[in-house]
Amino acid sequence: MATMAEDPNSVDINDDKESQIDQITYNWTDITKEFFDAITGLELGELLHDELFGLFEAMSAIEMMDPKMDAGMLCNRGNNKPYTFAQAVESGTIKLDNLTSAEVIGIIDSTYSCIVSWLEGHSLAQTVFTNLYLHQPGQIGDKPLKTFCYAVYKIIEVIKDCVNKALVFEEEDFQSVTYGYRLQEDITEQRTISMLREVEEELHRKSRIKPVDDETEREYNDGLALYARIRFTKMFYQTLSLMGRKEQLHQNLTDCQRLLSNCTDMIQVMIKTVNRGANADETSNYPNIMGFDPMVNQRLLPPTFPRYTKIKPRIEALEYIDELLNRFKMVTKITGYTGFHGALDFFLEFSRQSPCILSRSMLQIVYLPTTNRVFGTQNFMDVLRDAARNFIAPPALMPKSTLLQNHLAKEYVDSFLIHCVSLFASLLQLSGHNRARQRDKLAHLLEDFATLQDEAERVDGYLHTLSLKSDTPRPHLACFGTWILYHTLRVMVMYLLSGFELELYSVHEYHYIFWYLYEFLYGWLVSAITRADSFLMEQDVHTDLHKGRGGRKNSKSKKKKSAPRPYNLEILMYQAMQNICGGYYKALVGFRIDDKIPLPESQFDSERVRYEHRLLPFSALLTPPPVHYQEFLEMTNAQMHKRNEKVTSEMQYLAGCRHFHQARNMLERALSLHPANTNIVNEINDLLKVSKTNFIVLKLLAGGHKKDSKEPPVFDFSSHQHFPLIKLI
Amino acid sequence: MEAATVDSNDEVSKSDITKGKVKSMKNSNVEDIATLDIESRLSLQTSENCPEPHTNGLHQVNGICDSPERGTDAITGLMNKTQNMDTSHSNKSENVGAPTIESKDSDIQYVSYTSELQMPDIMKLIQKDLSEPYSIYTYRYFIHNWPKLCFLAMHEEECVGAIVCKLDIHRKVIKRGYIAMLAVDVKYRKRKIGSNLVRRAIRAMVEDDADEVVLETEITNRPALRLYENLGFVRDKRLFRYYLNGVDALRLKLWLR
Repeated sequence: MATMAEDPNSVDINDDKESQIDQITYNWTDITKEFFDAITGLELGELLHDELFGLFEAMSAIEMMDPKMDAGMLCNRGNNKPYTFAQAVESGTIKLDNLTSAEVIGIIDSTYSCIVSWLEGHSLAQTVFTNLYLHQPGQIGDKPLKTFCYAVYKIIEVIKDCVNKALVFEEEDFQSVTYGYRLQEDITEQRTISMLREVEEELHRKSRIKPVDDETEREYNDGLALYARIRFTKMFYQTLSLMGRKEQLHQNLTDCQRLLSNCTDMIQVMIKTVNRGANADETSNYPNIMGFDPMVNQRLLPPTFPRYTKIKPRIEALEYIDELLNRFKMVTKITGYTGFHGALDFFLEFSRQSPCILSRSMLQIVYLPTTNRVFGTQNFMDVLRDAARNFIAPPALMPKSTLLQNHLAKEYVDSFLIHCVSLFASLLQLSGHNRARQRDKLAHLLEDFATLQDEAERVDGYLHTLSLKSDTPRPHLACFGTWILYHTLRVMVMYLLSGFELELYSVHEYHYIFWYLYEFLYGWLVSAITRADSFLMEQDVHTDLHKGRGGRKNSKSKKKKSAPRPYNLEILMYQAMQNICGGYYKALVGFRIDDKIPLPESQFDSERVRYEHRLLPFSALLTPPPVHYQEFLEMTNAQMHKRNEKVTSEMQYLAGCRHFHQARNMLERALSLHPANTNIVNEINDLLKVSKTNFIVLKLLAGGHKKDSKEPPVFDFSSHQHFPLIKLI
Repeated sequence: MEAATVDSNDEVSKSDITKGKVKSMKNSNVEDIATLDIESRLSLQTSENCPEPHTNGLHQVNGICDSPERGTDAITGLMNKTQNMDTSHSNKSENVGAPTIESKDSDIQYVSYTSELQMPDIMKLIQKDLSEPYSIYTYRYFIHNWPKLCFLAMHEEECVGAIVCKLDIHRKVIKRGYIAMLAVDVKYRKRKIGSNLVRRAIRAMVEDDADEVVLETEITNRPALRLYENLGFVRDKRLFRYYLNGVDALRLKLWLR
């Protein structure tokens, strides 16, 4: 039933087409002699070089008949010649009927191996469609296998749609080309599920016949294992299909949670019974079971070196799916985050685990199934308006405010919020990309933040003037501005920290990165939040004054406003990280004094040039203003050479030591606030470990430990992806 | 561990030529060819859609790339660096701070590319341990366009090291040099021949007003990273799963201004 569509990319897989090709009669003429005669007229090194023949062409070119380059040489040779579906059937290489359960299990598990390999960025042609059974599922007699093959098509389709819709992939993440493979007749989702259910029930019925001897016992167990696979396939497909649907999202996700938990039960059974599949014990880079041929689609690939994709072993693939289910379960939890700030943190935290492309995409389409509707229902603009109100209580957004009765004011605020929608949607989408790509995108996003900051300030200014003229004059300066600044700073911090995570910085660069974080970014963050906090307090006072007229809506912040101020925890966290960065900076200055950090040779290297390029993305911003290298140099030199006092490395280590000590105190205080979010608790504990360890190391250094060793310290990122443990060798 | 040094390192970058080729186009031209769909990448017709597919080079051509046992430790990932590779270049760090060293081995002569007659030597050297070779056109693309950026290290009559580069305008504003291949014969390693070749190439690019010099290498290729970082290169970008074997690459960059 599945055939190749007629497109230029899909080459002859069908037998009829193959025979057509056989009929072509060639009329070759040997021109070798003429060729060699002709080239005697050329000078040494003389070339005909077409301008359009560039690097891409040069690298795409192959030297024909060289078996190392010419894939065709391999395809057509002896035993390597791949079978088409029909040839494989004819020769008896694959069975269409009377397959044992063990064989079907092996084929199913291997197919999941291929699906997982596809999800890891390989092409469908070299993964899933190396399964010949998928080429003509209609011809298969074995009902479970046939039904499974149909379902695989549907699963691929729904995954492809989901990933294409979320648009958080690059070509290294995902390849959606199907090479013309498709089911000829459209089988609906309902039909697919009912077919699967039918097979499932049949297998279930068989399992009621209890085994009587060893032979039937084996069959019985194989039957159960097969049942688990069909049942899993059904529910996995249902989950994928439900999760990606934008209608009745909340109801769907509740159903998904149930389905996911059942899927997990089944995948556990599959993992336990993986050895029931035929040839499960053999290890190879490629499915070794009947029906799979790694070379079968070689001709669908660009003309290049012969190679095939390494396919994940069955057990690893099943474990991968088990993890995938857990990630899906995590994704469904996003519905608990109605506030934007909470949702944003959720997105960022989710991304930190480097999830796969499918779960990343799923989170995107669950939260914003259409561009402007959160969960498909709430207007994204309203959600952001609430976020701004909860963050800093801009007078204009408060109930009973008369400011927005002014048409121009309303227009300005609306336009600002529309721009916010687009920027924050980009930020959410950005967090769905792979970690390496995120860094580039963060840099670009800062340009948009610069524009939005400018707009925020103008809107604030206008509202301020307006408010002062009103009956209840209240300042409106730097309200929206502070909110945007807060997010800008967070993006700046993310940008710098991502360099550690991606292993981009050399040790001799650490000092200016940590300096920037310590002296500026975290400090500015704290002051932005503090300003927001004082606005909130002012709003409380204002509401109390007008009691009975206004509500206390502003205090319903996600931060659970109990006795302490809402931002206490966040401020403590940033202060702790500021101190941690200060600790590294001081330690690095100490290492410099002790000559422990190897520097590049000076012929081509310039620290100034490096600094300027590393911090280039910040230059688009007006607030905070970029800090220039000169300033870094002066402040660092001031650290290293004090007037009337000899500065020693020990003094630096001691200063660093104090920073880590303070960080520890703050983290412990943060912990004592009992954060509700377990991610934050984990983060605090990780940072505590870093602070305590580095405290001890710096204390040792301050005491002169390893003073004379020129061995560079090691920065070990195993405890935290951004903040390393300092180790001395 | 001789096997782990510079030129055996070509292997991976080479063998990944296809993925890389297609990849680098997109990688570096994202804006320009954002409309290019994935399908088109898979056929050669792509080049027609892409007005200037070579601008950014096939960075994975870069010769400095190791992991002779690709396939086996290919997917072991980021933190897992093969220790023995360090040792092969351990002398590098000792010499840091002595920028002027040419080779102490005065028996090594560094010469510029002069004619096609040197091509077989260069190819032989670079191709030595490759599982998938570059076609002759790849060498010619670089060497015929930028003969002045190709240098050879000679020991008597034998070519024991080579570097192949290009230099052109990137995104209409930046004059970007690119180190495409670097190889040193296994018998002549640990003598700073690689570093000397790179220095010469950079100096030639500086004379031609280069703004920056870039290249790609596997994140697991410690010797290459060390060589380039000693010269002032920084890791500008990480290229996720750049190579077919699933290993990430790093784009190294030396900013000259």
